[in-house]
Amino acid sequence: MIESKYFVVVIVMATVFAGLAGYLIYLDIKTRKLEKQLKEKEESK
Amino acid sequence: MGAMISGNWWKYLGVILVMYSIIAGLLMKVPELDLIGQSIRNLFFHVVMWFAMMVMFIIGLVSSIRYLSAFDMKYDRLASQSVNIGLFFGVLGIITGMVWANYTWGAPWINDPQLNGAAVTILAYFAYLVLRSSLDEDHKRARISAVYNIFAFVLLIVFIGILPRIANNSLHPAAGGNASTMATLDNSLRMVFYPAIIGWVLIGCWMIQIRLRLARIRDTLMERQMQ
Repeated sequence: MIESKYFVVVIVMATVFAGLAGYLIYLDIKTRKLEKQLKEKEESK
Repeated sequence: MGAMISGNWWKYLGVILVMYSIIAGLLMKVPELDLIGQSIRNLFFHVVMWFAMMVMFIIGLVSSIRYLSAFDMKYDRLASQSVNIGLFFGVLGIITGMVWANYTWGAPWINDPQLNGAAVTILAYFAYLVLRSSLDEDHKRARISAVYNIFAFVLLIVFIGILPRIANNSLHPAAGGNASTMATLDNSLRMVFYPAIIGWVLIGCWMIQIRLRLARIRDTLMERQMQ
């Protein structure tokens, strides 16, 4: 039988990692937008 | 949405594998050895960090060698970012190891060949970053740091792989005559251990890719400002 305190640790660690993964996804999307803007500026020249 | 996932599937795979390793690593039944007990679960974090660090430093080594043969700055940028992310994993490996040592050996740091070797290796790679920041000219910085990176990797092999193994005594697994973790690892632990390594390596590669893309954007903007 798994004690409930283990679930607390799992939920905390999973939440922290989900936050980090979310931050990476946010950075990835932001970087892609910047690359797209630079490409469009280059093409409009 | 489909297009966003298709080119980035490996990033989401990394997230899924690491999430799996966190949940399974903390909830699965583990063999309980003397002294270690439940803290054996740290295997899925501490040892995995070192494996991820090794992969990042190998990417850096190959990039440095490729720079020295082609003198293409893209290899220098890749080498630099690989070392940055490798150091991130290495520092996490040291911290998780200290936590583990505190609870199993009674102190966060002991005078051990494996531990001291790991610390020296991390310091040698931090010196790589210091070296890079001290040189202004791009190609000069790339050349000198590429040569240093190759020597730093040789130091890593010696201080982490060779000297601890030939040492007389050590508390660390696979050092001082102790059995290797990989050789004696329970099969149930391998089911989480290997996916965790793959997951964290993929996350590391993702972090390198983002840093490279941001550096490229910064360089493009600086070029435009100079024009």
